Amino acid sequence: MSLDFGIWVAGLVTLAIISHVWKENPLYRSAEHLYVGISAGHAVVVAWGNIRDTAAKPMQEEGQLIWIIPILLGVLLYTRYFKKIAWVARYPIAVMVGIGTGVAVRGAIHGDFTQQIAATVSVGSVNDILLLVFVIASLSYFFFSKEIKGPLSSVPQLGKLVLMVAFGAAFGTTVMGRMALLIGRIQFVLGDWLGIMK
Amino acid sequence: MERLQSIPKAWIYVILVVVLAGPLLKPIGIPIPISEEVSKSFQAIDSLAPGSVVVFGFDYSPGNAAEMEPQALAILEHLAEKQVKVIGISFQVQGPEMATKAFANTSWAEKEYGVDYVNLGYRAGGQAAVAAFATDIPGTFSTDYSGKPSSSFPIMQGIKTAGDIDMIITIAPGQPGPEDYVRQVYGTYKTRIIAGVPAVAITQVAPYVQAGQIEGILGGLPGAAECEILVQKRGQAVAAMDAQSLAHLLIIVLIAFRNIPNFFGAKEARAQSMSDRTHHAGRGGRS
Amino acid sequence: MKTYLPVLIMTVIALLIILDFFVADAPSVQWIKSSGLVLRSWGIVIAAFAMGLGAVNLLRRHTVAVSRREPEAFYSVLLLGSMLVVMVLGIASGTDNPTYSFLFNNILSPASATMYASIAFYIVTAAYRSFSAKSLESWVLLITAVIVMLGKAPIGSVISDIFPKAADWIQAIPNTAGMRAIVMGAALGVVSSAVKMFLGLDRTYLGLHD
Repeated sequence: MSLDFGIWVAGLVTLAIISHVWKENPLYRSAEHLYVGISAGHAVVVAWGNIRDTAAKPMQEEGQLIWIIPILLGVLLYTRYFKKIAWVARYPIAVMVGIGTGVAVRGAIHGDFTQQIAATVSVGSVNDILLLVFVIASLSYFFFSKEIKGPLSSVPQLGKLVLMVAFGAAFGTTVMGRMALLIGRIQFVLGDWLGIMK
Repeated sequence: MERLQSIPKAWIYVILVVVLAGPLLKPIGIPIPISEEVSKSFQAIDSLAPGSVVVFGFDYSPGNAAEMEPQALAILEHLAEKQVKVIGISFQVQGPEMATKAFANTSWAEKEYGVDYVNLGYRAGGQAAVAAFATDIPGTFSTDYSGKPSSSFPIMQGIKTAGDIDMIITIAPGQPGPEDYVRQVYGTYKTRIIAGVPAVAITQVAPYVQAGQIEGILGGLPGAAECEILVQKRGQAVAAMDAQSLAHLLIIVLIAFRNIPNFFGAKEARAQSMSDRTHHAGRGGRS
Repeated sequence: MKTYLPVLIMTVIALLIILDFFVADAPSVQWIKSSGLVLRSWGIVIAAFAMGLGAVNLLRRHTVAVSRREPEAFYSVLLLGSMLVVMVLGIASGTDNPTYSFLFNNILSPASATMYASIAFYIVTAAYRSFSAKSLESWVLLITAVIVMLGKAPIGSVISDIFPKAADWIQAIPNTAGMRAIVMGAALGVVSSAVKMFLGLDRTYLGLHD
């Protein structure tokens, strides 16, 4: 059994949180609130470090006054808490959304679209042909503009089955992941804390 | 059969804990085969020449560390053995702490900070931060996690864009993750990417792996276990594999309890409805 | 003005960043490259400020609970106390402060890990209670899930070599196809919603619902 005070605290926190599976109780709620508090505190500390290192230091130490703009925009986000000037927060949000949208669009066009098509149509084996057929079938299942009728209607039907296989695989791997996380906790309790694991 | 369909919730919980804890206390030793997926990732890392520069994305947090940390530790051991240099970064707010812990618990603890490895900490903004990193590494990560200027570290000399990096290895359970490195880095610089993903994301990154945008992956705890075997540092993941196997069997058995009676039940119901239809013509059976 | 200017700013910034990706390294268009670079670095700073919003919301909610002496106020005190201690320690003496590391490693880490881990209990009962196959599609889903669960764990290859092989094939071919269709669809979705935002048809990000 561990004699480390930290391990004991971690062990008791583990028990407090897991007790929620049985039923909501004050121990769980205490641990939960401590967790939220520490996470939020940590996020603030790290965010503050980002502002200090990325903007404030270059401004103070190298005289790069341009950094005043993002700092000002960041501060303006907090106008949302004052009803009369809440609209001012729209400007930093617009800048942030503009950057996010620009980055997302260019990334999506290249990485998620053209390169995916290129990888689908370069056919060299039976599996490649199957992949091509399955991709087309799955895409046709998402084709909502007009109902596909006649002999071609079996294509979206096949697409639906392909998607079901994909979801089945996703279910299998989800189970796998969740079990791994629980195993990790049991390893901590039996190994690090109680010291009875081989 | 009906009993098997109505096991109380509490019993299922107890059975689960017993099934998982049993093999941890008394290992069975089910052999762990090496998948093609993991051996491909291993060979990719193995191909790095000594002195190569690797960016290591600590994009996981304590919540998913049970799955991700064994992957990170095994790969870090491999990198240490290959004598490459590691620049640790993170786009996950709790990631830098995971980096500190991982460096301290591997052979990297004996290496020189700033020369062989560095922990540059976290940058906010998700995919936009990944994009900023790709085009300007010293600008985006102008300091390390503790606030020291990154230009003061020998390891950072000559590093400007992701094009100056030999390989990116990201251990990421969610967003930003390997997909974002693909979109923002691979598209422009064709930097090699290896991704450690949780089991849940194996199916999601598959299109990027097939397209060659991601060179190799480690999937979930089994991926970590295989990697531990390849780098000859058996650890937490290998120890967990018997429990992982039994857990899967348990779920399959439970799903079977639910569905095998269903399967036969459906046949009986169909037969029943057929006979209903013959007896009560006009009332219609199941559609 | 309070609406159109933000939409215009958003559009110009987004287009600049998109353009940056497509223009060559010619000196005449260098300004696009450098403004893209500057904007992306600003994004980090503004996003860092935005991270504080969550903390402010928590502070507001829980100080109200404490000042009104609500029955749950004890938990709010715990939350506020731990948050302030971490903030003060982290900002004043850095994240390598021993007390900071203690709180992170021995409270935050196990709590977070256990929360994720407890989902395992729910997924097992959910699989047992509701994974009931009744149509062709649900049987396909169920059988695939079983093959993947056997193929991805060491036990699969003990039973038969077929399981890991089948699981790999499922992952590489039909799963890749289905996921690729979803990825491509989502990419089109990203582009079309961006166009809607550029045209001012979607302004929900500014808090305007019209």
